[in-house]
Amino acid sequence: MPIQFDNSDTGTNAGNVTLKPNASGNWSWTLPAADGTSGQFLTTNGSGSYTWTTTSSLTLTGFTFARNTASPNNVVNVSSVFASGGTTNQMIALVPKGNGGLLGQIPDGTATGGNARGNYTIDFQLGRTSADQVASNCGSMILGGYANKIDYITASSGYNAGGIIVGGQSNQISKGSWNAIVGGLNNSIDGPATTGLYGYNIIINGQGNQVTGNGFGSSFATIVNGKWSSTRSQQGVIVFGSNGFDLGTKGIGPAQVVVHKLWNTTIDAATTKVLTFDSGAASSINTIQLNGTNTCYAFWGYITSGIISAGNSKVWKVVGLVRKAGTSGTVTFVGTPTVTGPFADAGAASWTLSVVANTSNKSVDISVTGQAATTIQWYAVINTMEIAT
Amino acid sequence: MPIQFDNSNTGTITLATSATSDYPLVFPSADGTNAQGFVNDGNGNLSFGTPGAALVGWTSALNTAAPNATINVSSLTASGGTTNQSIAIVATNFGRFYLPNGGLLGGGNPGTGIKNWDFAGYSMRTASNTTRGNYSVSAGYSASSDTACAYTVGVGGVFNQFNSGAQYGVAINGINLPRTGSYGVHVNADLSDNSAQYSCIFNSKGTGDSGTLHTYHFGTWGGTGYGINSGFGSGMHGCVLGQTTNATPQILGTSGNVALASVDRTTCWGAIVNTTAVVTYFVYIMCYDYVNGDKAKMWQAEGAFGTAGVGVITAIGTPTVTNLFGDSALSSASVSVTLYDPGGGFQVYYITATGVASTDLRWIAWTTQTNSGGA
Repeated sequence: MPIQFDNSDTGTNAGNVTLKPNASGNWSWTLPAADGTSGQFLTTNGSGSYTWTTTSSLTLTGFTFARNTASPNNVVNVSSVFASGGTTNQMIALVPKGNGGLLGQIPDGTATGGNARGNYTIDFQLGRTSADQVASNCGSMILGGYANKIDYITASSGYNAGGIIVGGQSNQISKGSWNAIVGGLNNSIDGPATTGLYGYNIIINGQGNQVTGNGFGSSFATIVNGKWSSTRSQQGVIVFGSNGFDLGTKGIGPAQVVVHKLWNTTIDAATTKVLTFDSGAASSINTIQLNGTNTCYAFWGYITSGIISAGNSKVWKVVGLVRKAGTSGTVTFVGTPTVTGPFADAGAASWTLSVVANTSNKSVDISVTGQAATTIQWYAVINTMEIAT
Repeated sequence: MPIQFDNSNTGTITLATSATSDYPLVFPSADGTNAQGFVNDGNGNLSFGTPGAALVGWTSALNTAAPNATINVSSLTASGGTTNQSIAIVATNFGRFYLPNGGLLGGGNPGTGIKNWDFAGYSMRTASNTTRGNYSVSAGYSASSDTACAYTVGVGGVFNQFNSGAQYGVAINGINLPRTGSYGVHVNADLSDNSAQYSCIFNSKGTGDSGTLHTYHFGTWGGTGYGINSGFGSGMHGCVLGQTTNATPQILGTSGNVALASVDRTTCWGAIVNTTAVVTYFVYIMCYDYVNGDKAKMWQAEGAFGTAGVGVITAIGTPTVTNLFGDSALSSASVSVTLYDPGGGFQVYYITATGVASTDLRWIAWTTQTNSGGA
């Protein structure tokens, strides 16, 4: 096959093309049998055989990339990444390096991209008003929404693990570990800057709801919807919010219903125990707390008691009204709470229960006394209907 | 133009012997830059071009070994930078993220709205069945939000679809159809319909919200009906609130005092649709001297009523209102319960609170209500 040389251009634009074999010896190039198409590259197989290949589009092992411009993507194009080349059903893994995170924007230190995220974070939030509205805490996640924020939490300001905000707007987790806010507006989980195990909180939607802490206060507390509700530093409560009123002048959580779960164990007839969230000694966070300034609770509920290994059991019902005027005010029952024991085995006749107004702890205590040489479990579910400043 | 041969080593250039026609190759008139190659224009004219760029900062792989043998995993791994390195997938401007993954109908329409996330991997995906609320998040089968449903969260389950302007809604797992009520919550329900703001439905089947704001429904089986407050066994908890500063009676409502003309299924309790139904209620009511903090009073009210069709509402037995506790200064304060037909096919009951002269009292009442029947 002849090789033709076009010598028609011999003018001022003339130049040289030098074909130079490598220094190691013989070489051979085999060019394609026909011309390629527009945009194709002349590529080698590494053995001197050349072919025309399309390499202008990025191809990666296991993926196909594309920019989709046809309707309905003509107004807002879609850059797509598809799994390809493997099994019929195929997964995609996006793998950060080391303790890196998985992000929806590149941190730039401004409100556009936000500050650098914490270790092991997932942050797909795409809109914010300030740079610090990002998942800063180790292992935290913001799935979406707008202007949500998880602060960096050190061991000295609570604990430093996790936190999830799933959408909504302007929600914030500032303190504590293993907390979650699911949607809503201006909800917050916030505690004091003191060391302590504090967390396990959930706020499910609503507006302006607050988990507030005091040491270990509000651990395991939940707020379900409503407006301007608060856990008031009470452990383990479930708060059902209402449409809080007069919030502008009277603060957070003026009207709500709260469920308290309290328990303890007695082993004799000599010791009176207070039912608490954690069965520990009664404190200012693990019973029914009248936090706030002027505070009033209507309360009602049932207490069950029984011997663990079967045997006698007894049930009480309590209903009462309690109030406290001022931060340091006396906790006072309005009238006398009713305590009835409508259901009981005869063998439980000596078991007693009382409801006590505790000014020292600013609480209502359920106090119980059991039976000599008998282990009795006590469990209470008490509802409080609260108005407080 | 001359072609020079460097004969310092031997070699050959071979044109494939299968070539059957003239085959011109026109080389560029000048050298290219580092890493460029020859690119064809389809007519044999070669120029220097840059081949597909290397993927900087990533390593791609197709993982086929166990446990990925049955379902392979295409992976993109951060590489080449620091020891710890994050990954960012960035849409431009107001762009969105979505995962179409071969939708059931048509392979997936992208949503609209701005800056939302759509993880609804296997989806009906009609043009209107996508994530279209601004800043919304959808994940699961046919999760979606319409354009008026900003800041919503639909996670897991099937058909968690926000419609008709339910902003800030949350739907988790189950089959939920949140409607017009903003700030509604649906958790693991089956065909629940929530049209009231701030209302919640948990682990219920076929349960519709009564339309009353700030209510809670827990674990009820709504029977075969589906709609507003439908089905057997639906139950409800919720608050009404109010304020009195004198002895003028006030009706407690879901957002504070409500005028009689505004009493309806959104502001007060009850709400039964059309056909025969029975409602029971148990209510605790409390008032408190909010300013001085030294006076309070508490009642309980309970009763039942039924409907035998539109506009017919009748008490069953004798409802009771009992004063439980109270400071003497509030001895004249009182409450009453009224059955009422505001029209529109919904019957309600409301609490009237009468306060004390020159005393700022705040009121709250919590109901436990059961419904039997309804359509």
